[in-house]
Amino acid sequence: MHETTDVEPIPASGAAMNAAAALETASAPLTESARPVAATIEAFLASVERRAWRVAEIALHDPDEALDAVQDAMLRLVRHYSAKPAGEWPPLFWGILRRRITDLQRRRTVRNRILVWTGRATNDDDEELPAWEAPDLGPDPSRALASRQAHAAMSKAIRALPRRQQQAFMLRVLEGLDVADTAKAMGCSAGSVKTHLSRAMDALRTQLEDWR
Amino acid sequence: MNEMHENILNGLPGDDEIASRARAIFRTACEQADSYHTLRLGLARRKASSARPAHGALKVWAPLAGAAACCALVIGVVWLHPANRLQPSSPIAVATPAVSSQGDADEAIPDVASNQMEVVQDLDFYRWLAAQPAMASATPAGSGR
Repeated sequence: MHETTDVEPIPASGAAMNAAAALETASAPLTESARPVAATIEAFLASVERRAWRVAEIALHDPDEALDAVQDAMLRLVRHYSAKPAGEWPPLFWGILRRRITDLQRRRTVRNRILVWTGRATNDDDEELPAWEAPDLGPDPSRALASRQAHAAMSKAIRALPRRQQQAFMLRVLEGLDVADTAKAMGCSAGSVKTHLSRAMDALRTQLEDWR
Repeated sequence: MNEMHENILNGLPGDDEIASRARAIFRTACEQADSYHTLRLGLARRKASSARPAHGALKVWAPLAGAAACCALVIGVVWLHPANRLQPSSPIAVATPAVSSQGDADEAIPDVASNQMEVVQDLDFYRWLAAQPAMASATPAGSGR
């Protein structure tokens, strides 16, 4: 089940970004307070599940595949790392999820190659699927729409980045992990994280000029 | 996460603004997740939480127990194998080559002064057994007439 906002091609700049700039949340301060460490693993999963799903959705461009990836990451974390200290859960969880996303992306690449050979390939980006969308019961539908459009535009811009830059940007900027935890989750050095993030910001700066 | 208080990107000032807005859009998107996927996320979390952690102790002890069992089996086989009982100094080991040649059999009979009568009886049996093929090969020729 795809969300409408994810299948509609929305330009990465222009009206959507202006709408994003008009969002109330856009004026949020740059710095975020550190998230409290969850006492139990269920509390940790509850605190991280939506963000994890959104990150996976941005990377995979498929909400259901993203949900499967998050569920698998949750299961693996509980089965193998629940005995670890709570402070180690975030990098472990995001590392598991990153690997799962990469696996799914590679599997999709292989599947698409096979489909190209068999002549049944489809372009997911241009695919128009019938989508069911829950009725919007929010107080301001126009704001919700602007928010969805901004998210779709941002997702598209992030997906245009190379995989490692995507990971660095999402873990460091969107999730707010520090450099050390991002490096653990990505399985690389802190210097590599900074390099990937710097390149990602360079690319996004040119794509998202209207954000300034 | 505490480093978020610093200049997050250590880059251009505009980068911080881009990061801030990206984070705000992301946060809003997380809050506005549709109810279907929110429900499924909750189910997935409960399923994961109810999953039993993998038993680390079992993971450690199972290979060790297997290795110990293999060692015990090997030791048992080596200890109980009949070839090991045939020590070079034992009388039967000395007597065994004697069975192969009829002429040297008498010389190979060990000293039976003590408790080795069974060995001598076995040698008698083996001697009889060694004579059987010759008798068996001779029997069909005689029965043909």
